[in-house]
Amino acid sequence: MTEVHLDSTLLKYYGDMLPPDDVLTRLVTLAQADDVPQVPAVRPTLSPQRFLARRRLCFGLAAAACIALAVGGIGYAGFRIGRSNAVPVNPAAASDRATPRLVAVKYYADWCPRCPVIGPLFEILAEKYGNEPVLFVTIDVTDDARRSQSRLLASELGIDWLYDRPRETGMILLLDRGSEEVLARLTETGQMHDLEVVLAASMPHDP
Amino acid sequence: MTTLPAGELRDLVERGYRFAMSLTHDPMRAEDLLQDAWFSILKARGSWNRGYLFATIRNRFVDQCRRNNVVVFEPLVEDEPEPDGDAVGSVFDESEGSGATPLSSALGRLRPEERAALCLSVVEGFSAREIGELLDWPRGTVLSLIHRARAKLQRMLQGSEVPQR
Repeated sequence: MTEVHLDSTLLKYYGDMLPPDDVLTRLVTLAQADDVPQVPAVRPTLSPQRFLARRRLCFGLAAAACIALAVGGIGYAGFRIGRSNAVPVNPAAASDRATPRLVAVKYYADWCPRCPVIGPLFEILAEKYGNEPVLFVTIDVTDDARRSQSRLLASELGIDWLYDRPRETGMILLLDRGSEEVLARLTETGQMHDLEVVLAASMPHDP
Repeated sequence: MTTLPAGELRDLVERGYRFAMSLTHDPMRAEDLLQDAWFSILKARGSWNRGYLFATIRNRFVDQCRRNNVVVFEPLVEDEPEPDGDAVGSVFDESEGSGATPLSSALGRLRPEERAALCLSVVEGFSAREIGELLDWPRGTVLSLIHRARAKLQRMLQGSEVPQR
């Protein structure tokens, strides 16, 4: 085989290689996004052991903070009920940002191949809508310990009804805690804009 | 946000994918590597051009190999044993599963740096000096890599049927 023939063969071989259409579209969309905030690294540069240890610590702190927030909110609501003899708290009517009606849940696992794609999208949404009445929560099902913590967290937030329905990792669900509905779902092949439209339409508006 | 039109961005993604494929020789890993590099550029608000993208892909590839304790991009070993000329014929390579062409199998037997240098030279049209700046290698090393990669492929593909372009 001559060098020229080899080069032309290689040119055709690599020239025919194309990434999947959904990957192509998603990457182009991300690059053109209006206000892309700092996206955290998809892959850490720590050793696997240090990365797992740091991840466990971060998850533990985040879970503790979420549980404290949820317990505090539930306690406050209970205090209000006791004071006013009102009907049980209706999350749909609550304007308290500590217990928002809308919850964006990311289903995550270390071993999930879709999660590195979904992760940055979740971070973008959390930063963009951080001041809105939406709670951003990660349900980590990597192993038994984290799954157990996630179950406790979901129970505290009143979204443990999710566990009754089998879910895959690597997706973001937008939930209405009051009606126990899944309002929108974002997977690696979906469009973030579609979820944002539903989110904007579902947010409570001040009278 | 970039002002590049969608068509140019798509072209950039495709080129990045081909370079990632030359490094990993695996579609799933190449896809993963490309996305990894793309998000790195987004985070750093880097430039959307070929050179920056290829350098980022290369750096992420090296990071992944280090995490997996895989040694890559070592200096050339002059007495490295060459693969047999008839090691690849019309037989499918077992490591790639059924369906691998002789060319694909032969490329799989090259080292990542050889495939990368060959891809950047033949497919992307970079000069040896430009490849050296991109991959942080001396120009002489790049020329040796390209020459050795071509020689290995020619020996491995000798006698196998490769369709004429």
